[in-house]
Amino acid sequence: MLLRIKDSAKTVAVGGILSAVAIVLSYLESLIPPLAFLPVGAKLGLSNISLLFSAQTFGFPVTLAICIIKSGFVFLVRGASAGFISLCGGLIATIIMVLLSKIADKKDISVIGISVVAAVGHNFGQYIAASVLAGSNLFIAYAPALIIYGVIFGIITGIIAKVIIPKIKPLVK
Amino acid sequence: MKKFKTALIIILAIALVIAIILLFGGRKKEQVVINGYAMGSVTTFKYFEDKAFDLSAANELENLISNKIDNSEISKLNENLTAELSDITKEILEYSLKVAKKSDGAFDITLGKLTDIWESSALENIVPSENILKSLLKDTGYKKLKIKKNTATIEDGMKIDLGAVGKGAACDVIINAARENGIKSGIVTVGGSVGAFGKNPNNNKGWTIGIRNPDMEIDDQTLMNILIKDGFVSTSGNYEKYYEIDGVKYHHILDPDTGFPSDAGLKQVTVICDNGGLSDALSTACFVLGYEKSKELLDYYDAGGIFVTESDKIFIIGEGFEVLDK
Amino acid sequence: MKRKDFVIIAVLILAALVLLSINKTRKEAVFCEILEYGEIVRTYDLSALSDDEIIVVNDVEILISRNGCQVNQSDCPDKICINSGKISRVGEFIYCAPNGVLVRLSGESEADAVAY
Repeated sequence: MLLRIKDSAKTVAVGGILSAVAIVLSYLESLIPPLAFLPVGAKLGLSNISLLFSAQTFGFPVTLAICIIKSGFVFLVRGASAGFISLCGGLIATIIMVLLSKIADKKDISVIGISVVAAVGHNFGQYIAASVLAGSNLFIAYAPALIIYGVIFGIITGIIAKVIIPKIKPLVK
Repeated sequence: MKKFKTALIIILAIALVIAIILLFGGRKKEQVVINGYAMGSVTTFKYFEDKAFDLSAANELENLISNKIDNSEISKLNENLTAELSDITKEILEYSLKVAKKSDGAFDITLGKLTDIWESSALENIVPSENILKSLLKDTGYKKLKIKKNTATIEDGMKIDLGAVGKGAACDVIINAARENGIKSGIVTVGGSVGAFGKNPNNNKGWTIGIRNPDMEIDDQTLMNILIKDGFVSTSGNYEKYYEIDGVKYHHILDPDTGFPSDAGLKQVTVICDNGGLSDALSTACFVLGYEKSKELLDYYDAGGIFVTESDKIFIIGEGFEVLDK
Repeated sequence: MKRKDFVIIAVLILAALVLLSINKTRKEAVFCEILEYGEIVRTYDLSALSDDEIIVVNDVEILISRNGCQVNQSDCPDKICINSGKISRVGEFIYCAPNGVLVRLSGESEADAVAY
C-alpha cells in the first residue's frame, strides 16, 4: 500500500528522519559486545526496521536513499571498506524489501517474511562484499549460520516492524 | 485454521532449533594443548580437562638420561664407567637391554662413540673409514653393560646413547604424570613418537594417528592413518636424520655389526605397542633387522608393525591397531 | 500473524540444513594463509609449527600457533579482527577490512597426532 507521494518536502523530511533513525539504531547495535557464537557481521539488524517502513510506505527511491545515507555514515565512522560492505548488504536488503513489499498482498506475505528474506540477503550481501575485498571465498564455513541467524533476527525485527509500522504510518500521511 | 498455524509455528521452531544444534554440533570438545621442548624435540600434550599440568616430567627424564647433559646419570656412567641409577633410568636400560637381546643385537644402546664419529666426520665431509669403525666397534656391545641393583657399569671406551629410546620414554613419563594428576585421557607427542591413553572425547573409536610418508618430496605427507585405543607409536626411518657427505645421504640408524648405516631394505618402520620406550626401541630394532626378521621380535612383544620397503612396498603385521581408509 | 511467511522460513531453514549436511567437516585446520589485499603473503603448516609465531601485516599483529590463529593487535577502528577470537577450523577466517588483512584456514587433518 504505497502512499502516493504528494508532498515532496514531506518525503524528504520523513526520509531524513528515517535515515537518522537507521543510523541511531545501527549505532546502538554496535554498542552490544559481539557474542562468541555469532559469525562476524551477523547483527540484529534493527536499522532494517527503518528501511522496512520506508519500503512499505515510500518505495524504492526513498529506501535507497536511506540505505546510501546509512552506509555513508558507516563510511565516515568506520572507513571505506566497512562502508562498502555495509552498502552491499544494505542494497540487497533494500531491493528485496521493495520488491517483496510490492507483491506482499498478492502473495500472502507479511512484513515478517520480508524482514527474514531481507536479513538473510543482507548477511549474504555483506559476505559477498567482504569476499571481494579479501580476495577469498568466505562463505564456506559460514553460509548455514548466515541463513539461520538471518531467519532468527529477521523474525525478531519483523515482529517489531509489524507492530510499529501501522502505528507510525498514519502520522506520516 | 488457528490450530494449523500454531502447529506450523511449532514445527518450524523445532526445525530452527535442530539447525542451531547442528550448527554448534561440529564443535570439538574443548581441549588443552601444552607445548614444550624435550629430548631435543617439540613436545605436545593434548587433554580435555580443566586441570593444570606441565611437561616437566619429560624434562626431568631428559636430565637423567640424556648424554648431552653433563650431569645426567648416563653422562656420569659414560664418564666414570659406573654410576648410580634412579629407578626410571634403570628401567629404561633394562628394557633396552632386553630388546637388544631379543633382536640379537640389532638394537644396541652402546654405539655412542660411533654416532659421534659419524657426526664429526660428516662435518669434514668425510665418510668414516672401515678401520676407524672397526676399532670403535670393539668397545661396543650391549652385553658389556652390566646392571646390578641400582648400579650400572660399562667397559672402558664405551659410550651409552639412549637417543633411540628417549622420545618414547618421554611419552611414557608424561602419560604417567598425567594419570597421577587425575587426567583421564590425552595424547602426547615427543618429536615423532606418540602416546595416547583414555577415551578420546572426539572419537569413541579411539585415537587417529597419522603416519608420515617416508617420501618427503610428495605433497601428501600422510602415508596412512591408523586407529589405536591406548598405546604408543614410534617410527624409525632413513629420512629423519642423516648426514650428507659428498652428495650421498647416510642415515643415522647404525648397524651394530658394521658401524655403517643399516641396510635392510627399509625406508621406514612404525611400531605400535603398549609402552613408549619399547615402541621406540623396537622401531629401531626392526629397521636394522629388516621385515622378515622383525616378525618374531614384534610377535614376542605383542606389538604391531608397519614396514615401508625401499621399493615402496608396505607390510603390516600385528594387532592392536586398525588401518583406516584414506 | 504470518502467512506465506511460513513457506519462506521453511525453505530457508531447509537450505541451511542442506548446507550443513554437505559441509559436516568442522575439523582442525592444517594450513593458515595470510592475505594482504587479496595476495597471499605467507602460508603456515600448523602441524609443523615448533613454536608460536607472530607476524605483522599492515599493522595487524597475528599470532600463529599449533592450535589456531588470532589477531592480537590492530590499528583499525572496529577491532572486529581482534574480537573474532581464535580460529582453528577449516573455513574459518579473520578479516581486518580496513587493513585488507585476511587470515584463513584450510586443509583438514584427520589425525589426532602424527608419528614420524
